Amino acid sequence: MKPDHNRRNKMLAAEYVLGTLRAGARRRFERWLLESAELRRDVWYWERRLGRLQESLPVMEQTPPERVWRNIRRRLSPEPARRARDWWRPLAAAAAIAALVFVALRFGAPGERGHIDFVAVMKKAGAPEPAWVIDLEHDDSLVVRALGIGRKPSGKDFQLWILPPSGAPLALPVLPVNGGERRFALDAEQARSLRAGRRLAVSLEPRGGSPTGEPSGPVVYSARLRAPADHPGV
Amino acid sequence: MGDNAAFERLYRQCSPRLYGICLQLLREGAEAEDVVQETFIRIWHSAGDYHEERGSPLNWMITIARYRCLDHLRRQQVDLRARSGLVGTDNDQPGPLDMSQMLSQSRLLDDCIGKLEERQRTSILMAYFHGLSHGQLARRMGKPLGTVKSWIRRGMMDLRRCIEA
Repeated sequence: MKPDHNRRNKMLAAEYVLGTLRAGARRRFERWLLESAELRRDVWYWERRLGRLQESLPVMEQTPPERVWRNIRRRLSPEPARRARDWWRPLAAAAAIAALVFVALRFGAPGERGHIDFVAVMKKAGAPEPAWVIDLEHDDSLVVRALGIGRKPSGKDFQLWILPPSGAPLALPVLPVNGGERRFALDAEQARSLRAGRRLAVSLEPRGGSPTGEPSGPVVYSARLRAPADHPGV
Repeated sequence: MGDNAAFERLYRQCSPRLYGICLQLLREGAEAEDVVQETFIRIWHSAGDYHEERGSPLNWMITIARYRCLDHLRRQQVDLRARSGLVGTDNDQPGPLDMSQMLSQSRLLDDCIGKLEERQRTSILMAYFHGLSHGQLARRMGKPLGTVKSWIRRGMMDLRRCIEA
Protein backbone atom coordinates (compact mmCIF):
# COMPACT_ATOMS: atom_id res chain seq x y z
CA MET A 1 0.00 0.00 0.00
CA LYS A 2 1.45 3.38 -0.99
CA PRO A 3 2.34 5.69 1.92
CA ASP A 4 -0.19 8.33 0.96
CA HIS A 5 -2.95 5.70 0.81
CA ASN A 6 -1.97 4.70 4.30
CA ARG A 7 -2.36 8.26 5.57
CA ARG A 8 -5.63 8.69 3.75
CA ASN A 9 -6.95 5.45 5.25
CA LYS A 10 -6.01 6.54 8.74
CA MET A 11 -7.81 9.83 8.20
CA LEU A 12 -10.89 8.04 6.91
CA ALA A 13 -10.78 5.78 9.95
CA ALA A 14 -10.57 8.85 12.20
CA GLU A 15 -13.56 10.45 10.52
CA TYR A 16 -15.49 7.21 10.63
CA VAL A 17 -15.09 6.92 14.37
CA LEU A 18 -15.59 10.64 14.96
CA GLY A 19 -18.78 10.49 12.92
CA THR A 20 -18.10 13.04 10.22
CA LEU A 21 -17.84 10.34 7.57
CA ARG A 22 -21.45 10.00 6.45
CA ALA A 23 -23.89 8.66 3.93
CA GLY A 24 -22.47 6.84 0.90
CA ALA A 25 -18.87 7.30 1.96
CA ARG A 26 -19.66 5.75 5.35
CA ARG A 27 -21.38 2.75 3.74
CA ARG A 28 -18.45 2.20 1.40
CA PHE A 29 -16.01 2.45 4.28
CA GLU A 30 -17.99 -0.14 6.27
CA ARG A 31 -17.85 -2.59 3.36
CA TRP A 32 -14.14 -2.00 3.09
CA LEU A 33 -13.75 -2.66 6.83
CA LEU A 34 -15.09 -6.15 6.32
CA GLU A 35 -12.21 -6.87 3.93
CA SER A 36 -9.23 -5.16 5.50
CA ALA A 37 -7.78 -6.18 8.84
CA GLU A 38 -5.38 -3.25 8.76
CA LEU A 39 -8.21 -0.79 8.28
CA ARG A 40 -10.07 -2.40 11.18
CA ARG A 41 -7.03 -1.81 13.37
CA ASP A 42 -6.93 1.82 12.24
CA VAL A 43 -10.55 2.13 13.36
CA TRP A 44 -9.88 0.45 16.69
CA TYR A 45 -7.03 2.89 17.30
CA TRP A 46 -9.44 5.81 17.07
CA GLU A 47 -12.15 4.01 19.02
CA ARG A 48 -9.71 3.62 21.91
CA ARG A 49 -8.41 7.20 21.73
CA LEU A 50 -11.69 8.99 21.18
CA GLY A 51 -13.28 6.79 23.81
CA ARG A 52 -11.17 8.64 26.36
CA LEU A 53 -13.18 11.76 25.58
CA GLN A 54 -16.05 10.09 27.37
CA GLU A 55 -14.05 9.96 30.57
CA SER A 56 -12.70 13.48 30.44
CA LEU A 57 -15.82 15.56 29.95
CA PRO A 58 -19.07 15.73 31.93
CA VAL A 59 -21.52 13.16 30.68
CA MET A 60 -25.24 13.27 30.92
CA GLU A 61 -26.78 10.10 32.26
CA GLN A 62 -30.46 9.39 32.14
CA THR A 63 -32.28 6.20 33.03
CA PRO A 64 -34.27 5.00 30.03
CA PRO A 65 -37.93 4.05 30.46
CA GLU A 66 -38.48 0.49 31.70
CA ARG A 67 -40.14 -0.49 28.43
CA VAL A 68 -36.67 -0.50 26.83
CA TRP A 69 -35.58 -3.35 29.11
CA ARG A 70 -38.86 -5.19 28.62
CA ASN A 71 -38.42 -4.98 24.85
CA ILE A 72 -34.87 -6.25 25.09
CA ARG A 73 -35.97 -9.19 27.23
CA ARG A 74 -38.75 -10.01 24.84
CA ARG A 75 -36.50 -9.91 21.78
CA LEU A 76 -33.92 -12.11 23.45
CA SER A 77 -36.14 -14.88 24.85
CA PRO A 78 -34.88 -18.11 23.36
CA GLU A 79 -36.98 -20.04 20.88
CA PRO A 80 -37.31 -23.68 21.94
CA ALA A 81 -36.75 -25.10 18.42
CA ARG A 82 -33.49 -23.23 17.97
CA ARG A 83 -32.22 -24.30 21.37
CA ALA A 84 -32.57 -27.97 20.52
CA ARG A 85 -30.52 -27.70 17.36
CA ASP A 86 -27.77 -25.27 18.41
CA TRP A 87 -27.31 -26.21 22.04
CA TRP A 88 -23.69 -25.08 22.05
CA ARG A 89 -24.40 -21.55 20.94
CA PRO A 90 -26.17 -20.36 24.08
CA LEU A 91 -23.27 -21.73 26.12
CA ALA A 92 -20.67 -19.84 24.14
CA ALA A 93 -22.75 -16.69 24.18
CA ALA A 94 -23.36 -17.04 27.90
CA ALA A 95 -19.64 -17.33 28.55
CA ALA A 96 -18.95 -14.25 26.45
CA ILE A 97 -21.62 -12.25 28.24
CA ALA A 98 -20.39 -13.33 31.64
CA ALA A 99 -16.83 -12.38 30.74
CA LEU A 100 -17.90 -9.03 29.33
CA VAL A 101 -20.04 -8.15 32.34
CA PHE A 102 -17.29 -9.19 34.68
CA VAL A 103 -14.77 -6.81 33.17
CA ALA A 104 -17.26 -4.05 32.50
CA LEU A 105 -18.52 -3.66 36.03
CA ARG A 106 -15.33 -3.90 37.99
CA PHE A 107 -14.11 -0.42 38.70
CA GLY A 108 -15.73 1.78 41.31
CA ALA A 109 -15.39 5.54 41.13
CA PRO A 110 -12.34 7.11 42.80
CA GLY A 111 -12.93 7.62 46.50
CA GLU A 112 -15.59 4.95 46.69
CA ARG A 113 -14.96 2.06 48.96
CA GLY A 114 -13.58 -0.65 46.73
CA HIS A 115 -11.91 1.77 44.36
CA ILE A 116 -9.23 -0.14 42.52
CA ASP A 117 -5.77 1.36 42.59
CA PHE A 118 -3.91 -1.28 40.61
CA VAL A 119 -4.56 -4.43 38.63
CA ALA A 120 -2.32 -7.42 37.93
CA VAL A 121 -3.21 -9.87 35.20
CA MET A 122 -1.81 -13.39 35.46
CA LYS A 123 -1.81 -14.66 31.92
CA LYS A 124 0.32 -16.90 29.77
CA ALA A 125 1.16 -15.50 26.32
CA GLY A 126 -1.26 -16.93 23.79
CA ALA A 127 -3.82 -17.98 26.39
CA PRO A 128 -7.36 -16.93 25.46
CA GLU A 129 -7.95 -15.27 28.80
CA PRO A 130 -6.13 -14.53 32.03
CA ALA A 131 -5.82 -17.22 34.68
CA TRP A 132 -6.40 -14.69 37.46
CA VAL A 133 -7.07 -10.99 37.71
CA ILE A 134 -5.93 -9.38 40.93
CA ASP A 135 -7.03 -5.97 42.14
CA LEU A 136 -5.31 -3.91 44.79
CA GLU A 137 -7.98 -1.69 46.26
CA HIS A 138 -7.55 1.66 47.87
CA ASP A 139 -8.02 0.22 51.35
CA ASP A 140 -5.20 -2.34 50.80
CA SER A 141 -7.58 -5.21 50.10
CA LEU A 142 -6.46 -7.68 47.49
CA VAL A 143 -9.25 -9.19 45.43
CA VAL A 144 -8.45 -12.24 43.35
CA ARG A 145 -10.78 -13.59 40.69
CA ALA A 146 -10.12 -16.86 38.91
CA LEU A 147 -11.07 -16.62 35.25
CA GLY A 148 -9.22 -18.97 32.96
CA ILE A 149 -7.83 -21.38 35.51
CA GLY A 150 -10.12 -24.36 35.70
CA ARG A 151 -8.75 -26.71 38.32
CA LYS A 152 -5.61 -27.26 40.32
CA PRO A 153 -3.39 -30.30 39.89
CA SER A 154 -4.19 -33.07 42.34
CA GLY A 155 -2.66 -32.48 45.77
CA LYS A 156 -1.47 -29.02 44.85
CA ASP A 157 -2.40 -25.40 45.38
CA PHE A 158 -1.48 -22.18 43.60
CA GLN A 159 0.01 -19.71 46.05
CA LEU A 160 0.36 -15.96 45.62
CA TRP A 161 3.48 -14.06 46.57
CA ILE A 162 4.50 -10.42 46.78
CA LEU A 163 7.88 -9.77 45.18
CA PRO A 164 9.29 -6.86 47.18
CA PRO A 165 11.86 -4.42 45.77
CA SER A 166 14.48 -6.42 47.67
CA GLY A 167 14.52 -9.48 49.85
CA ALA A 168 12.51 -12.67 49.91
CA PRO A 169 9.00 -13.06 48.53
CA LEU A 170 6.20 -12.43 51.02
CA ALA A 171 3.63 -15.20 51.29
CA LEU A 172 -0.02 -14.55 50.56
CA PRO A 173 -2.90 -17.04 50.66
CA VAL A 174 -3.54 -19.76 48.12
CA LEU A 175 -5.58 -18.81 45.10
CA PRO A 176 -9.11 -19.79 44.13
CA VAL A 177 -9.72 -21.65 40.90
CA ASN A 178 -12.68 -22.39 38.69
CA GLY A 179 -14.38 -19.02 38.75
CA GLY A 180 -13.86 -18.47 42.46
CA GLU A 181 -13.14 -15.17 44.07
CA ARG A 182 -11.29 -14.33 47.24
CA ARG A 183 -10.64 -11.10 49.08
CA PHE A 184 -8.09 -10.57 51.79
CA ALA A 185 -6.67 -7.61 53.63
CA LEU A 186 -2.96 -6.88 53.40
CA ASP A 187 -1.14 -5.92 56.54
CA ALA A 188 0.92 -2.75 56.62
CA GLU A 189 4.19 -4.40 55.61
CA GLN A 190 2.61 -6.36 52.77
CA ALA A 191 0.82 -3.30 51.45
CA ARG A 192 3.93 -1.14 51.62
CA SER A 193 6.00 -3.80 49.89
CA LEU A 194 3.47 -4.43 47.14
CA ARG A 195 2.92 -0.76 46.41
CA ALA A 196 6.68 -0.22 46.25
CA GLY A 197 7.64 -3.24 44.14
CA ARG A 198 4.36 -3.67 42.20
CA ARG A 199 5.06 -7.31 41.44
CA LEU A 200 3.22 -10.51 42.22
CA ALA A 201 4.00 -14.13 41.43
CA VAL A 202 2.22 -17.48 41.62
CA SER A 203 3.95 -20.73 42.50
CA LEU A 204 2.71 -24.31 42.47
CA GLU A 205 2.84 -25.67 46.00
CA PRO A 206 1.64 -28.65 48.00
CA ARG A 207 -2.00 -28.48 49.13
CA GLY A 208 -2.33 -25.71 51.69
CA GLY A 209 0.66 -23.71 50.44
CA SER A 210 4.39 -23.80 50.88
CA PRO A 211 5.50 -25.45 54.11
CA THR A 212 8.69 -23.37 54.25
CA GLY A 213 7.41 -19.77 54.15
CA GLU A 214 9.15 -19.28 50.82
CA PRO A 215 8.23 -20.62 47.38
CA SER A 216 9.05 -24.34 47.32
CA GLY A 217 7.63 -25.12 43.90
CA PRO A 218 7.98 -23.63 40.43
CA VAL A 219 6.86 -20.08 39.71
CA VAL A 220 4.14 -20.48 37.10
CA TYR A 221 2.91 -16.91 36.67
CA SER A 222 4.14 -13.44 37.46
CA ALA A 223 2.76 -10.01 36.73
CA ARG A 224 3.22 -6.33 37.39
CA LEU A 225 0.58 -4.20 38.99
CA ARG A 226 -0.58 -1.50 36.64
CA ALA A 227 -3.14 1.27 36.71
CA PRO A 228 -6.60 0.02 35.67
CA ALA A 229 -6.54 2.23 32.59
CA ASP A 230 -3.48 0.36 31.36
CA HIS A 231 -5.47 -2.86 31.21
CA PRO A 232 -8.22 -1.77 28.78
CA GLY A 233 -9.72 -5.20 28.38
CA VAL A 234 -9.59 -6.13 32.03
CA MET B 1 -23.86 -15.40 38.28
CA GLY B 2 -26.15 -16.60 35.51
CA ASP B 3 -25.68 -14.84 32.25
CA ASN B 4 -29.23 -13.48 32.25
CA ALA B 5 -28.77 -11.87 35.65
CA ALA B 6 -25.34 -10.61 34.61
CA PHE B 7 -26.78 -9.10 31.46
CA GLU B 8 -29.49 -7.33 33.41
CA ARG B 9 -26.88 -5.97 35.79
CA LEU B 10 -24.93 -4.68 32.81
CA TYR B 11 -28.08 -3.04 31.49
CA ARG B 12 -28.95 -1.39 34.81
CA GLN B 13 -25.43 -0.07 35.25
CA CYS B 14 -24.63 1.09 31.72
CA SER B 15 -27.92 1.95 30.04
CA PRO B 16 -28.20 5.43 31.64
CA ARG B 17 -24.84 6.37 30.17
CA LEU B 18 -25.69 4.98 26.75
CA TYR B 19 -29.13 6.60 26.80
CA GLY B 20 -27.59 9.94 27.71
CA ILE B 21 -25.12 9.68 24.86
CA CYS B 22 -27.91 8.78 22.41
CA LEU B 23 -30.01 11.73 23.59
CA GLN B 24 -27.09 14.06 22.92
CA LEU B 25 -26.72 12.69 19.42
CA LEU B 26 -30.35 12.17 18.42
CA ARG B 27 -32.12 14.81 20.50
CA GLU B 28 -35.24 12.67 20.48
CA GLY B 29 -36.34 10.26 23.22
CA ALA B 30 -38.13 7.60 21.16
CA GLU B 31 -35.21 7.20 18.76
CA ALA B 32 -32.72 7.15 21.61
CA GLU B 33 -34.76 4.35 23.23
CA ASP B 34 -34.68 2.38 19.99
CA VAL B 35 -30.92 2.71 19.77
CA VAL B 36 -30.36 1.65 23.40
CA GLN B 37 -32.53 -1.39 22.73
CA GLU B 38 -30.70 -2.29 19.51
CA THR B 39 -27.38 -1.74 21.25
CA PHE B 40 -28.04 -4.17 24.08
CA ILE B 41 -29.39 -6.77 21.70
CA ARG B 42 -26.23 -6.38 19.66
CA ILE B 43 -24.12 -6.65 22.83
CA TRP B 44 -25.90 -9.86 23.79
CA HIS B 45 -25.23 -11.45 20.41
CA SER B 46 -21.72 -10.10 19.89
CA ALA B 47 -20.18 -10.11 23.36
CA GLY B 48 -17.58 -12.52 22.01
CA ASP B 49 -16.43 -9.85 19.54
CA TYR B 50 -15.19 -7.64 22.34
CA HIS B 51 -11.42 -7.61 22.76
CA GLU B 52 -9.07 -5.19 24.42
CA GLU B 53 -8.04 -3.46 21.19
CA ARG B 54 -11.53 -1.94 21.23
CA GLY B 55 -10.74 -0.15 24.50
CA SER B 56 -12.62 -0.81 27.73
CA PRO B 57 -15.84 -2.84 27.57
CA LEU B 58 -17.89 0.27 28.25
CA ASN B 59 -16.06 2.06 25.48
CA TRP B 60 -16.92 -0.79 23.12
CA MET B 61 -20.57 -0.58 24.10
CA ILE B 62 -20.57 3.18 23.63
CA THR B 63 -19.04 2.72 20.18
CA ILE B 64 -21.86 0.38 19.18
CA ALA B 65 -24.42 2.90 20.40
CA ARG B 66 -22.73 5.83 18.66
CA TYR B 67 -22.54 4.10 15.30
CA ARG B 68 -26.21 3.20 15.51
CA CYS B 69 -27.04 6.80 16.38
CA LEU B 70 -25.06 8.02 13.39
CA ASP B 71 -27.04 5.64 11.18
CA HIS B 72 -30.26 7.06 12.66
CA LEU B 73 -29.07 10.61 12.06
CA ARG B 74 -28.66 9.84 8.39
CA ARG B 75 -32.23 8.54 8.32
CA GLN B 76 -33.43 11.65 10.18
CA GLN B 77 -31.76 13.87 7.60
CA VAL B 78 -33.16 11.92 4.68
CA ASP B 79 -36.68 12.03 6.14
CA LEU B 80 -36.50 15.76 6.76
CA ARG B 81 -35.37 16.43 3.21
CA ALA B 82 -38.04 14.17 1.76
CA ARG B 83 -40.80 15.70 3.84
CA SER B 84 -40.07 19.39 3.75
CA GLY B 85 -37.36 20.09 1.22
CA LEU B 86 -35.35 21.66 4.05
CA VAL B 87 -31.89 20.56 5.07
CA GLY B 88 -30.32 20.65 8.49
CA THR B 89 -32.96 21.99 10.83
CA ASP B 90 -33.22 20.73 14.43
CA ASN B 91 -29.95 18.83 14.39
CA ASP B 92 -28.02 22.08 14.19
CA GLN B 93 -28.99 22.99 17.72
CA PRO B 94 -26.87 21.88 20.67
CA GLY B 95 -28.14 18.99 22.74
CA PRO B 96 -29.01 18.63 26.39
CA LEU B 97 -25.37 18.80 27.48
CA ASP B 98 -24.71 22.49 27.66
CA MET B 99 -22.38 23.29 24.78
CA SER B 100 -20.59 26.21 26.37
CA GLN B 101 -20.03 24.25 29.57
CA MET B 102 -18.53 21.39 27.64
CA LEU B 103 -16.29 23.62 25.56
CA SER B 104 -15.08 25.70 28.49
CA GLN B 105 -14.21 22.57 30.41
CA SER B 106 -12.43 21.14 27.40
CA ARG B 107 -9.79 23.88 27.66
CA LEU B 108 -8.84 22.56 31.07
CA LEU B 109 -8.00 19.12 29.75
CA ASP B 110 -4.33 18.44 30.10
CA ASP B 111 -4.25 15.74 27.49
CA CYS B 112 -3.95 16.09 23.77
CA ILE B 113 -7.49 17.34 23.19
CA GLY B 114 -6.79 20.32 25.42
CA LYS B 115 -3.70 21.16 23.37
CA LEU B 116 -5.55 21.53 20.08
CA GLU B 117 -6.30 24.93 18.59
CA GLU B 118 -9.67 26.09 19.85
CA ARG B 119 -11.52 25.92 16.53
CA GLN B 120 -10.17 22.43 15.81
CA ARG B 121 -11.11 21.28 19.30
CA THR B 122 -14.57 22.82 19.09
CA SER B 123 -15.38 21.25 15.75
CA ILE B 124 -14.09 17.82 16.81
CA LEU B 125 -16.02 17.87 20.11
CA MET B 126 -19.22 19.07 18.49
CA ALA B 127 -18.92 16.37 15.84
CA TYR B 128 -18.20 13.69 18.42
CA PHE B 129 -20.76 14.54 21.08
CA HIS B 130 -23.52 16.06 19.01
CA GLY B 131 -23.13 14.16 15.79
CA LEU B 132 -22.89 17.27 13.66
CA SER B 133 -21.91 16.66 10.07
CA HIS B 134 -19.39 18.81 8.19
CA GLY B 135 -22.28 20.77 6.67
CA GLN B 136 -23.99 21.35 10.01
CA LEU B 137 -20.70 22.41 11.62
CA ALA B 138 -20.06 24.83 8.78
CA ARG B 139 -23.50 26.40 9.27
CA ARG B 140 -23.15 26.60 13.05
CA MET B 141 -19.70 28.13 12.94
CA GLY B 142 -20.46 30.36 9.99
CA LYS B 143 -17.52 29.10 7.96
CA PRO B 144 -17.11 27.49 4.53
CA LEU B 145 -17.45 23.72 4.30
CA GLY B 146 -13.86 23.27 3.15
CA THR B 147 -12.54 25.27 6.12
CA VAL B 148 -14.40 23.14 8.66
CA LYS B 149 -13.31 19.92 6.95
CA SER B 150 -9.70 20.97 7.17
CA TRP B 151 -10.07 21.94 10.87
CA ILE B 152 -11.31 18.46 11.59
CA ARG B 153 -8.62 16.76 9.55
CA ARG B 154 -5.76 18.83 10.90
CA GLY B 155 -7.18 18.49 14.38
CA MET B 156 -7.26 14.70 14.15
CA MET B 157 -3.73 14.63 12.70
CA ASP B 158 -2.45 16.90 15.49
CA LEU B 159 -4.26 14.71 17.99
CA ARG B 160 -2.57 11.62 16.67
CA ARG B 161 0.85 13.26 16.65
CA CYS B 162 0.39 14.38 20.23
CA ILE B 163 -0.80 10.97 21.36
CA GLU B 164 2.16 9.24 19.76
CA ALA B 165 4.75 11.76 20.88
